Amino acid sequence: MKKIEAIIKPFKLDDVKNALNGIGIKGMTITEVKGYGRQKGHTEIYRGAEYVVDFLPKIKMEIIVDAVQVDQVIETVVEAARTGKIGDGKIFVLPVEQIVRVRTGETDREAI
Amino acid sequence: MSLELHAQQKALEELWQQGLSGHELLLRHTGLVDTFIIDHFQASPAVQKARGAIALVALGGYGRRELYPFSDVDLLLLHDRKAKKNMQEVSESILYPLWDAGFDVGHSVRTVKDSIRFAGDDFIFQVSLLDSRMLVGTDSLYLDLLKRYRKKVLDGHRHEFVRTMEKLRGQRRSKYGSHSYLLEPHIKEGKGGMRDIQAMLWTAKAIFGLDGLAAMEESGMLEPDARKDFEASWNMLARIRNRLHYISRRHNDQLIFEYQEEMAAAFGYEDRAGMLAVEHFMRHVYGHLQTIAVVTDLFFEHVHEVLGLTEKDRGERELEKGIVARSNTLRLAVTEAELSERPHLLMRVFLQAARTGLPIHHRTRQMVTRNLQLVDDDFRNSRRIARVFIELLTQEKNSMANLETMLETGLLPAYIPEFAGVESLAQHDLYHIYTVDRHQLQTVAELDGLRAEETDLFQSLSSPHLLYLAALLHDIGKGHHTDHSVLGAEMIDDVGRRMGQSDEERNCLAFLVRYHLFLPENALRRDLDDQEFIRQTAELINDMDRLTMLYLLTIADSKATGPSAWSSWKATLLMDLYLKVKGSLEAGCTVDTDKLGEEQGVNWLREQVSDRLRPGEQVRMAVEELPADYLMSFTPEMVVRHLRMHRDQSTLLQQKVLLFPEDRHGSWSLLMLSRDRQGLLAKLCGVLALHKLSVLAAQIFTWPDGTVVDVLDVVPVANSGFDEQDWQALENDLNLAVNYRLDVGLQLHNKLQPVGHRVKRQVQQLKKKVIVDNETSRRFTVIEAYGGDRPGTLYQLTQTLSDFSLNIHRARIATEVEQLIDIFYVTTADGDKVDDGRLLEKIKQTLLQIIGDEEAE
Repeated sequence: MKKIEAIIKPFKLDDVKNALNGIGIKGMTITEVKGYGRQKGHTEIYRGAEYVVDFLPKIKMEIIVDAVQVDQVIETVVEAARTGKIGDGKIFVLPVEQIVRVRTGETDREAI
Repeated sequence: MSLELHAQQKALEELWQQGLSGHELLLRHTGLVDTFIIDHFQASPAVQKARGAIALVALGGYGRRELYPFSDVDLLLLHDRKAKKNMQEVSESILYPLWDAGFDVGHSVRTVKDSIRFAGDDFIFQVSLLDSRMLVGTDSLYLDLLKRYRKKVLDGHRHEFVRTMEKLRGQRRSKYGSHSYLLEPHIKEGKGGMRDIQAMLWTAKAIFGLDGLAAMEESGMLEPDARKDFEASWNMLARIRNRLHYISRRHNDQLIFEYQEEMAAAFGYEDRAGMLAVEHFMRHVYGHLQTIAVVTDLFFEHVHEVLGLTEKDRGERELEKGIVARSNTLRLAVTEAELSERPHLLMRVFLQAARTGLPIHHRTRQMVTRNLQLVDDDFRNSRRIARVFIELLTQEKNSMANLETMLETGLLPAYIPEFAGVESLAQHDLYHIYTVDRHQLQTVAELDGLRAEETDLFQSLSSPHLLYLAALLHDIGKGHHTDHSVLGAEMIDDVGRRMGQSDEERNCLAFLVRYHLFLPENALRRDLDDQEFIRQTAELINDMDRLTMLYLLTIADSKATGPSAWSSWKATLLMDLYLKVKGSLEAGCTVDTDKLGEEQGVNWLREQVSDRLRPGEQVRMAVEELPADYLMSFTPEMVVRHLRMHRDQSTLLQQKVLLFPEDRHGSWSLLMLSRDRQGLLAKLCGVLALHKLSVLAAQIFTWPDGTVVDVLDVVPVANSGFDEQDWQALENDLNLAVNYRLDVGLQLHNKLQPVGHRVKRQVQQLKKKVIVDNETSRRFTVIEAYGGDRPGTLYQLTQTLSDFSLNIHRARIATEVEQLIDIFYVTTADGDKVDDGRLLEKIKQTLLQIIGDEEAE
């Protein structure tokens, strides 16, 4: 089991969600986050003064899948989230040791 | 025996399912428990064995015979000293069966003396005694308790009683008035809930000896109409609470989200008129809570006054004819007959409240409510009253409380009947924590907050009152089948008309309501780096004032929706969108001169220019005839400068190019005035290239008399300083070129040859393309050329466009890495877009050849 964390542009959320639904991924966790990478942030002229936007708003998605599905999910996210410009985001894949569904006590694969 | 009670409770639940109503159910339930307890008491061997006197007393809700299905049963086991040693056994014989039957029992075992002492210390116990009721046992014991309770605890402590009661009431309001309880009201402790009812009844009983609503009405403390509404609301809340206990199978008094739909169905509500059943239901629930809150508020203010708890100040102060301030409250000092002569006082008293920050006295509030028939069509269409209303709405000190009072007295919905459509209107989602009416008031309050935070933005607004009106009314279209923004825009137009707003002001109001969701919806869903989207948005809004108002309205609206609707994350996205659209509006690249608003903007600019000319000052070009796009690209001061140069050097201008270089940080701005000639821009670009200046941007304007005003932003190719540049030589070459005395093309070819070599290798990998776009701009054909950054290319490109007899109106020249991106806004000589497909193809091929030149080499 793997956890896939994807940082994407906010306006791409619906596209990515629909694309993932399309390949049978139903569950995910979404967080509104701020951060920066190579995109760094930018300077805006606001009320005549320069205003530095250092942390840019992004969406973080967390998806837990069986290891065999990882590549397909990554491919889908990349395809849906890509604009080709800087700041499109990043994807991380992490190992998951254990999953428990709170209501039923089911574990691991059944609990995904 | 407990089995029997259980069976009876079951039977009661069945009766309830068949429709046994609120209070009736409570009475029956109380009866069942009474019988159960009395039977056990009488059958208890411990009681028979005891030598002293014992009495069982019901307290609190049980004492009032308001026992909800899963409420606590509060008991006081009263005894004298002789019975003391038996009480352990006695209480066990009563309490064990109750516990076994599943009741939550609150009990205490005390003598009369202990009870009185404890009542003095513990306010909760003190008020629970107010509701006490003798169940079984020795009567004299209970009567003794009552007598001493009145004498020792109540008498002489009335002020303290009322103060404590109000303190607790305040604590409840702040604890159960928080966000989570707005969405899921607490039927017992919340504002307008059961505790408010009890607090009023307790106080009436303890302070005035008035037992119940009937007695209060008789004494004149409660108006008959108010009593009727109050009782209806009370009964409805009782029914809701019964049901809540049954369906949650426990002592639960909060109408949580998941039960609301079920309740709505159970109470026979249906989906209707575009609203969910649950929304109709919750609307009534909020309405009932509101009724109780208003009646109890009035009651406590009255008590306050009767007891003389209200601070006395230096008597009475007349604020205006008919309105006075006394004891820190505002009052109407007129009779009802006088009020009907001067109905505008209804509105003026709220203006005074907004100005002074003082609350309106409860009698005056009741008077307003009683006289709402004065708010007729004349009142609603009165300019004078509209002015008062707008002033109070936009008062800096205006508080939420004042608007709430206006809503609660009924004046606001009477004055703006459209508002009545959303009163107590609930929205069944986790997002909107206020009902629509409160949400709109809250939006106004948030706007007040923004006024302090975003002072500059606020001060830039020409008509802030429109923003306030839009905030107050942006959701009035809700609760119907259709898109509430569209409907609301129509409705606010009517409101604006009645308030005497001009066509232009009403347009603005309708626009703000129609598009109040545009920014938040798009900030999250659209790519804010998409220039086309930004441009379209700028075109839609098309006015800086409107953009700023929409932005402020969006923030206030989001903040007033609930904690999940606003975060710094959303704020960042929204600000990004705002700034980009603002930038687009300022750049004016998308200007569309046929729009009304813009024409006004241009007219305003003309006035600004005229104002800056000295009285009687002559210029050789009429300000009225200057082209709109030119006026919008320069400050009025710069326009005046151009006009003066044009006048002072008119002879020179016919033959020469006048050059005015200026050092801006990062680049040099070259203003060039001359007479229009074929291929002028190409020649300028060529000469600049010869002088090792690289062009970043160009704006080209032509006045009706053929004068050309060009502004080119340039940077030196070599890192030389502004003062090192030989501006005189440049001006000379420019003049040679425009007068056909300089072979720009050949010179460039010769002079730049060595440099060309160096650049060549890098250029090889670059993508070269030419895009012709007739969609982006309404007035211009946009030609984009991507190629290698080779000095001289710009000359060739512009020269080519000139050869095709195209006018270049604007040019943007950007360099990314070593790639050159030239964007030209062109028209044909007649000023139209180029739409001849074959011609366009030819232009494209020729340009491609120029930028692809080196590949061929």
